[in-house]
Amino acid sequence: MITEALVLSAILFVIGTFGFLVRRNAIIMFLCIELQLNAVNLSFVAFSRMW
Amino acid sequence: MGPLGPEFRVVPLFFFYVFAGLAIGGAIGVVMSKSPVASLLFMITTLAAISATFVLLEAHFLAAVQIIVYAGAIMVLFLFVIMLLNLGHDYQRDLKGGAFAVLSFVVIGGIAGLLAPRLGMESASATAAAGGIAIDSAIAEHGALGAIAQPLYTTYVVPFEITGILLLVAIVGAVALAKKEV
Repeated sequence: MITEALVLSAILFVIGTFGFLVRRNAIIMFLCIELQLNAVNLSFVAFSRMW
Repeated sequence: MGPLGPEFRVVPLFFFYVFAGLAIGGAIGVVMSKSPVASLLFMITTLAAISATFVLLEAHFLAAVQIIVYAGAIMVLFLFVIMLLNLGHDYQRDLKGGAFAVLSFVVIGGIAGLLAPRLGMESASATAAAGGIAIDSAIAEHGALGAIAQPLYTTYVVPFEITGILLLVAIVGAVALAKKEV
């Protein structure tokens, strides 16, 4: 499940990066940054199960 | 997965896939939807699904905090801000064109190219036992809340206080920005 969580985190981070670079609306750009932060949080939780 | 034996691990994995699909669908909805309000509602879906995956990874306190802080406070606040300021009607020219589109594909290709060779390499399940056992023993000793609070206020107290100062700076900056208009 840890590997799957890391893959999910990578997918969410990439979607957030794409949205931040493509959208012009400031609120949606903020939401995409939040998406990236949450993806990193998820990877932290997964890594905490690992080490 | 803590107390469960190996024969029960299939069921959490099934739910993990369900919530992962929900999170990815919500994230795509955040990026693709035209209206900021719909985007925000998709974001709440994604945050709830991520919190469910936190539960499946046995980070129960973090899952509760995720729901309370993100979905409960920040997102509802933003929904109110969008609706009160009537920001949801500016649809035209929302997509950045040209260089930004090319740049986004370059960045995403770069991230995917960095990550793809590593996916099969790490044998996560081999080292997973050690971290899982450490977390389980910490939870058994201090409880689910104490397992976070104990290191936070002893080992990592200086970074914790620095984070508090950072939040104070943010509050002072928000007050300074808001006061200019009065």
